[in-house]
Amino acid sequence: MKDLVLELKKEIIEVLNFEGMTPEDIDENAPLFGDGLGLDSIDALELIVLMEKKYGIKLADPNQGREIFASITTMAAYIKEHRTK
Amino acid sequence: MKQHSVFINGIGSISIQKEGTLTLPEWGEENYLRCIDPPFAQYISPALLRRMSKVVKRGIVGALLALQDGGMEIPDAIISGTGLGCIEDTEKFLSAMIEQNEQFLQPTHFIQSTHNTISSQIAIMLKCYNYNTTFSHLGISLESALFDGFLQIKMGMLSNALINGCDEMTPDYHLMLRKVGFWKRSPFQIEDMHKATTSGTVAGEGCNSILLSNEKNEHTYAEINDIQLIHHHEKNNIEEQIRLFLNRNELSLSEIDAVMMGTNGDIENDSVYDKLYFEGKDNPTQLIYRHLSGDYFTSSGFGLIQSARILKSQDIEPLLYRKESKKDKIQHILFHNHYKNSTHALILLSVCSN
Amino acid sequence: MNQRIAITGLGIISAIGNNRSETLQSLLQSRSGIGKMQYLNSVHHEFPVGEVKLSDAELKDLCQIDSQTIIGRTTLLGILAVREALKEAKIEQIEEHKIGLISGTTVGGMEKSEQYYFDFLHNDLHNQYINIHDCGACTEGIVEQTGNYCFCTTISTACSSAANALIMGANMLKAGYLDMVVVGGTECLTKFHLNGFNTLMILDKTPCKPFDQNRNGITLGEGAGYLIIETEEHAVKRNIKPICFVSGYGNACDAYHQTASSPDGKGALLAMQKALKMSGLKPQEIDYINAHGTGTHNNDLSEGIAVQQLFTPVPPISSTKALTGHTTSAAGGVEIILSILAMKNQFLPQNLNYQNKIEELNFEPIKSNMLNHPIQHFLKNSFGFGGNNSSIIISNNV
Repeated sequence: MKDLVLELKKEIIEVLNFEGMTPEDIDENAPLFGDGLGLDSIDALELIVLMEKKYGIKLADPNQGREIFASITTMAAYIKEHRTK
Repeated sequence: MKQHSVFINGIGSISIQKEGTLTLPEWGEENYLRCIDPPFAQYISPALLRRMSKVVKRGIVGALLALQDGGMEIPDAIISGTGLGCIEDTEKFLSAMIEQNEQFLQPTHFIQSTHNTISSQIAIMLKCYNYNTTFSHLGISLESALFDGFLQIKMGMLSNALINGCDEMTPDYHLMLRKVGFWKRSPFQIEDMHKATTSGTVAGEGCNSILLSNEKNEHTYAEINDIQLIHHHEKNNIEEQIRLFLNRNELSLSEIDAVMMGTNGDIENDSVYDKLYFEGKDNPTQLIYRHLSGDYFTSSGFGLIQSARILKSQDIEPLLYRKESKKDKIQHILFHNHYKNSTHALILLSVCSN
Repeated sequence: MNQRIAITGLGIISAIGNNRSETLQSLLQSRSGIGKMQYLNSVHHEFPVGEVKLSDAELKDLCQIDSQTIIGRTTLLGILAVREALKEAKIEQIEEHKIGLISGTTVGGMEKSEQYYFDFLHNDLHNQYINIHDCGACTEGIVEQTGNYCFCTTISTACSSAANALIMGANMLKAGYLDMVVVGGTECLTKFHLNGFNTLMILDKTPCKPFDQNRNGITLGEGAGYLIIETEEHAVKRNIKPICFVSGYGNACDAYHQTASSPDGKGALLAMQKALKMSGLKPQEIDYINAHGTGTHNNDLSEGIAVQQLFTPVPPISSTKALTGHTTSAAGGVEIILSILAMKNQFLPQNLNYQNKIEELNFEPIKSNMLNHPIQHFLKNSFGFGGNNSSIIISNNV
């Protein structure tokens, strides 16, 4: 789980283009949207692509992402349970 | 209808030149001239910055510089010209689409790929709800944008307009355009651009922003008296069109102090100007700029900005001369740019004494 | 001088017809052109599309262009529509007039670039398509086949491109720079667009349902729509009876988000207000609204809220995108022409696929064609990514 959390942090920094940020800068329990990292609806779509491409998880409805993407921890938990690759 | 005057009140430029200087760039055959970028983070918040491609960042900062220079916060219009739009993101999306067989594509690259991204992002940053549009027509994209703003100010529909011309180059696009003969191949000295006897030009990139206004003030560089865009075909003679254009402004070519020409080192391109101004009996001072900016679809913006500066300062940087004739004062500049001799842009600029 | 801007010619091609008369028949019968993908070579067959029912070869044939000519589908669609419009306006020798062409497009020659992109980079098999990639080249291609205009340019504001072309053209007429202008837009379907909209998760797997509570996104279409505009004085001098008039237009920016409309529809409202102000008409004088109505959750709600703010009650309103699909850059041209055809035949076109009212809105769109319903003035909305919003008001010539 710890590895997955670190991996996700690295992926998010790369995919969402957080230049100059390191995994240590992200609190895995802080909210990804609103406060915390301050992600928006486009980032949510990027995360949906990431879930499908990297972990084989397909989310058909963008609204489904809201709970899953609450924080890195919730995201990791969901991936652990549903990943197909 | 009451016709309003149109002035250039602010300029902003991001180019291959260091801010405030003009020097001959170094250029190698396989390469293109790259922009010297300003520190974007000083102008744009990190949250917005992380998603933007270079051309969008340049567009925004160019626009902010022009507004600042003209002492304006929110313009009545944001009008952009871009020949190629946001090619970096277009390329990313396109190659991923092909490589990944239309799967796992990133929305950001698509969102940032459309031509109007630059104008829109400027509006979003400024919270500017006014007229907003984008032109994309090859080598007269910027002139189309300028003409739209000029026209609407003249007619009293707008008081001012921010005109923004932006194009970026990428290694892949440079390669593609090399294949269809856009660039110089043979050994070539960039300072000899106006003497070239071969085809092709030297690629560059940049963003040039101009703030137009119906009000003359302490920021004013020059007045734009008139603009004409001409689609050239066998039945309209360009020499005649220039004469008519100057006539309707009560001028003749002999009264023009300097012509700012779009000479780019391509023999076919340049011969059009030479025939009109070099071999003609009227002999205005001839100025060129593309050896200092590189050529791109909206590089004419760089020349326009030089024209505005000259009219304000009455000082001509020696590197701009193609041919000099002695003038006490630079009163009128005829800006002439054409794209493959199929579309011509004529812009008449005049000095503004405050 | 009479400065009214007259419309004297129309040219259209879309999923519901290759010309004006076929289009009118489909419109009268509410016959949608949306169906399974036949011509676009994409893996995403799960999405229905509104294709023009002709291959590139058939289009070239119709245009009487040699089959070997290097030319894109967007340009071919444009040529057909421009020719039809010129013919109706009785313009034969283009160079005899001060006539311009302002065309809206966004993806330009992308449909060829997406086939040959790797060839462009790695070999020399298809270099001839490199030069037709960009938007401007597409317009120049139309010029090459339709005549010697004295002015031409290209507008690229995504899905409002054609509407903005009309605005620029009308301004040039009013300022006396041109006598006549061909204005409109053209866009063919591309994998680039289909995949792009798919990454935003706003494509419907069933034909789009604009203004329905259960709407689920866009159905992409393709087409071209061009109008000939000139001052009324000029039309009279040429002995041409105007079809109708452009009485107002407005362009505003939503300045909210690159792809989403603001929740209060601010940009949409401003564009409509500007158009009304220029026309001098009161909201209650608008007999019909042809909405942008893409079928996404976001657009239809935002546009609906803006319409409600301006119009009490809301006049008959419909989106015709369930017939043609969303023709993107061409939409402004295509849909103004559909509305003019309805106006000239005294009916209001229905909003196909509509069942349930959007909860947050106080109006329903037109549920079936309303025949014998004269229109004096209608308003057309055309909105694009980046909040490039434009509205046009057209008035009948009676």
